[in-house]
Amino acid sequence: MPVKAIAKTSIARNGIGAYIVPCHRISLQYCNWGGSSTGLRELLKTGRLDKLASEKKGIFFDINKKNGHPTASFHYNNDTIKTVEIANLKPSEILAKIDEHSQRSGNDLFKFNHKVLSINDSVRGIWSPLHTPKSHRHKI
Amino acid sequence: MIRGFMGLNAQRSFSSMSRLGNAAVRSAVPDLHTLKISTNGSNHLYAIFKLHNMPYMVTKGDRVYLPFKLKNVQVGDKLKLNDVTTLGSPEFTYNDNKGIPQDAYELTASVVEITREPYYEVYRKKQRCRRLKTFPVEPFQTVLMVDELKVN
Repeated sequence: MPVKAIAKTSIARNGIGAYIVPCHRISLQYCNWGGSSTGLRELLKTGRLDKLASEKKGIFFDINKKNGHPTASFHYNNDTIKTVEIANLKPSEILAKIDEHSQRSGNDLFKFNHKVLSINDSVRGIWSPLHTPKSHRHKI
Repeated sequence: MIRGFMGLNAQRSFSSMSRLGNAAVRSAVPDLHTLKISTNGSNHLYAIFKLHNMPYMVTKGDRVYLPFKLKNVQVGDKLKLNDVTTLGSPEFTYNDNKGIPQDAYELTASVVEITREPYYEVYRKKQRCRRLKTFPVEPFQTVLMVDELKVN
């Protein structure tokens, strides 16, 4: 019987080699009449949003005019859409929101109580008293 | 001054003068070929690097969760981690608490995510006041991914 190699599938890890920014689309919705959209309207008028869009080249920006409070929706490449309320915010605060959410991965927020998350096997292995010869085992 | 890493991207520059200066002064790059041979082509290689004097033990492909927002850094940046104290394989370790010379190894990490920890509230009680003060907390979190680790 021929010897078969054990198949090992590669694991996609964004950040090794190439890195693709997870946020690929930001859609901003504003109202032309309501006072809560003043900040976003100012951003659009002064061209500061154009500047931001030209800086973030991997992200597609789309602007919609719709009645109601303004929102910013962030589309991530794990098929999640996160909508953030930007009503009554100053232009600088809206820019800060966009900057923060565009650097996220779209996964749920979680607290990691350790320093390093690894999926590799341990280099040194796990110490076990039972895997040494009986004569060398630790005796209590 | 940020101690422990240096930006590799051309448009950003980070200073880590103290570490660079020490490396220049230190003369000899250690001979690590026994370590290199025993690492199975860097598959069985680990390193302990320091960032803001805090040690992190990593292998290639690991994610490092920093409980703060790394200054002057954006998602997608590549960082050269230049304060490594230990390199090790299953059989050998090389350790230098003052920092191994940078020519001996290559360790880079990319900034993968700048996010936050989940929202929680902290309660503080003052003396002689029956009410609790409530503070909303949503601290920043920076995630690095080790994308290159090898012994030169």
